Formats: sequence, C-alpha cells, structure tokens
Amino acid sequence: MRARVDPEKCMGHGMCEALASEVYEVNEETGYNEMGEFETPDERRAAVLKGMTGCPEQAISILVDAPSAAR
Amino acid sequence: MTEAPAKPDVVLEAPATLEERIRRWSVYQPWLQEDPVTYFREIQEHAPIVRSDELGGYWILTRFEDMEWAARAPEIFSSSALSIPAHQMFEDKAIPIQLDGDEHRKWRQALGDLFNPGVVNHFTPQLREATIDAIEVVADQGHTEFISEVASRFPAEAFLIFFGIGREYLKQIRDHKDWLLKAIRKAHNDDDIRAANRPLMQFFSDAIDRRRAEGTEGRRDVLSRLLEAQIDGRPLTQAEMVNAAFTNMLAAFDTTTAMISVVFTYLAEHPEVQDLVVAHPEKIPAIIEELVRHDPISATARVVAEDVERHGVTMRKGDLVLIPWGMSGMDPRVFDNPTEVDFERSSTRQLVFAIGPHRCIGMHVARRVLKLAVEEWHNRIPRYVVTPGTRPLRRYTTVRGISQLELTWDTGSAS
Repeated sequence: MRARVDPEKCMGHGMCEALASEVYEVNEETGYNEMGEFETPDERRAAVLKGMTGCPEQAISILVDAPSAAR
Repeated sequence: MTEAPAKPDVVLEAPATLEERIRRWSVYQPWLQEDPVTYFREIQEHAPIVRSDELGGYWILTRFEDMEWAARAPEIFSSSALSIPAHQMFEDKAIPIQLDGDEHRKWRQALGDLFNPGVVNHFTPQLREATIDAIEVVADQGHTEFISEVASRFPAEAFLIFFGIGREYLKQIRDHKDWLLKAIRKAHNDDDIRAANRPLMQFFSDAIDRRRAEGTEGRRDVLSRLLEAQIDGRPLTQAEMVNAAFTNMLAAFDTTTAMISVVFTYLAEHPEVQDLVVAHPEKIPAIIEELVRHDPISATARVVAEDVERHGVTMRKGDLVLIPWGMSGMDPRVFDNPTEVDFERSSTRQLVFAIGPHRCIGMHVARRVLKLAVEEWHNRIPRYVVTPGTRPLRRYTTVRGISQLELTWDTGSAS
C-alpha cells in the first residue's frame, strides 16, 4: 500500500512516529516527517491508519492504487 | 512535615440558575476554582456563544468549531488584548503574541524557526540533564511539594537552555519571576506593572549583552539567533529582543508548569497509568496528549476588530472575547465521552496550543519538557501517591492548573 505525508501540512508534532514507529519516521535533525510518498506492506495497514488518524494536522493520507498505469 | 492544603472555610456557592452562572462567569470566581469544567460543559451544551457581565463584559466561545473559526480569522479577532481585563504588560506590544496582520507575520516568521522540532531535538540532551538534576534533588526525600519544588523548575531550565542564557541563572530567573507575580498582584494599574517589569527587563538585557560579547556563531539558542536576525532588513533593537524574551517567559513558565501539574496529578491518582508509563514508555506522547486534552489549561482573549455575526449573535468592534482553548477538548461534538480519559483515542487533533497564526510558538518545547519529565521521573520514582491527608489544590484563574500537589513515595532505603 502507498501513503503520503504532506510536507506542507506536517508541523513536526511527531505523533505519527510516537503512535506507529514501525511505519513512520521523523527526521531526527529537522524534527519533521520527510517521508513524502512511501510504500509499506499491506500488513501494516492498521499502523498506517493509526498514525494517519492520530496526526493533529491531518497531513497523512492513504493513496488508492491506480487501477492501471494509464495516464 | 507536610500538612493538608488549607481548605477555604467559606465556599462561595455557584449562582442558582444557568443564566446567572453564565452572566457571572469569570476565571476568578471562587466557585469555579475547584472544578470549572463541569460548569463549563453545561454552558457548552446550552449555546456556542454566551456573554458574561463580569470584568466589564465579554463574549465566550464555548465550542471547538467556533474557537477554531475565530483562531483562523485574525482579521476579525485581534490579539491586541490577550486577557480580560485587558492589561498592557509592556509599553510596546508583546512580540509576537500581541501583534496582528503583516506585523505579526514578519515577527512570527523571524521567531517561529527558533522553536522548531529540530531545535528541540538539538537541545534535548541538555534538557534531559536538567530534568534529571531537578528530580534527583527530591528523589531521596520520599516526598515533595511537587509544583514548587519540581514542576515549576522544568520550564525555567528549558527557557535558560533554549535562550542560551545558561543554567547557572536558574535561581535568579525564578526569583525574578516570583517577585514579578507578587508585584503584579499588588499592581493598581498598568504603570505599576511596568515598574514591576524593570528587574526582569534588566536581566534579559544583561543576558543579551553577555551573549553578544561571548559570540553567537554556530549557536542555535534563541538569543544568538535574535542577535543575527534581520527584521525589515535591519538588526533587531535591544528593546525588541528583551521584549521577545520577556514575552516568551511569560507565555511559557506558568502554562508549562500547569500542564506538568495536571499530568502528574492524574498519574499520582492512577497507579495503573504509572504502570503503563513504566511498561510502555513509547506510549508517553499519546498519554500526555490525552491528559492535556482531558484537563483544560489555557484561555486567552481577543478583541473584535470589525462587527461580526455568528450563530445569530452580533459581536461589535471593540468587544472582548474569551477563547478557552482547553475547554474545546470537552466538546462532545468532537470527542466521544470527553470527560473520560482514553489513551487509544484515534484523533489527537486538538486546540490545546490553539491553531492558526497565533498557535503556541513553544508547543514543541512544552511537549518535550513534559515528555522528559514523565520519562525521567518514572525512571527514578515509578510508584507514588498523593500524600495521604492532603489533596491537590486546584485553581482556575488565567492558567488553570494545580497550585499544590504533595506527593509521597517509597525510597527503598532499606536496601
């Protein structure tokens, strides 16, 4: 599955990493999540969701896979 | 030996009707000191905007949605007055908290980066050391009055570290701050307040002079960065730097102490949560978020800059509006069973630090201070109780929190 952390919305609260460190990583130097768009195994869906709903800025979204490579 | 905090002999009772309780609402009311939340929730259910006649009269926004709306409309809700009644702490407006519009934007841009999460990570090792030092002073005693001896020290230490003033000034800055609070309480007018400010103004000015003399290169502390900063293409004046430092201290000390105090009071009363913290330290950030939601702390004011209508209420230019940010966490439209503590809540979106352009500039610092306090305390004192025969002394006022918290623990001195 794919997810995205919007760098414009991320405020560096670090809640994603605190709630689901198996999926999310905050850059130690800057304190922000700089993962952008990333791929993670489907088994981690629950953790992805936990970090997503827990983000105070609603900066995280799950990307729906395009049905084909068209466009 | 510790004694139970004195209970007031005369408990002034709340007015009998809801209408009267709204009309008489003020953070200073004796009947609201112990538990403003229960009374506030009743008002929150009654109406989104109400009017109190106290302190010259002001509006109160009661719900999450309306507080967020006001926070995101700074052109309507000016920050030029932040308290009710409106005090002017300095001769100039407080930087950046009291500024509006473009002026606010440029200062906020200059200052915002000085407290970003990367800076917080940078200073965390020093902050952890200071946290440990503060706890070790009391750890072997087996008891403490937690607020004055422990909690209030953390934000002072953090301030001295982040501003690059140096931890050796701890006693000095805390003495100045205590003296200032007493002087403000006795002040009759804004002139008295400004006279009371002078010793701290001098303290900050001296700290800036020392930093300038010792050099700022490569340093990430606030004073170094301010000395190197530009605003409107010119360096900051000494007065502006003193203003910003002073403002930051006023905004940080009591609020952070209050946050720490409500979190530790809850922990002291819930041994099962102490166990959770010890067994699962990785849950500490979520535990802290939930506890600061559950215990409303901060409220600030705004001034209506242009007539505005909302929910059928017209607020006129010049009216004062109280925004009790913390109370937004009690809104059942946003949080299921808001009075319950639930560390597994799916959303941590809250207004504890407000939102919009005036969102708390030090929120990342405050959270880190709190996290380190919880971690390092439980590393040394994993089990503690509110001292039998005492009870936490709660207050509402401008920053809701705990004024006195007697804690007791086993020092294991038998070993």
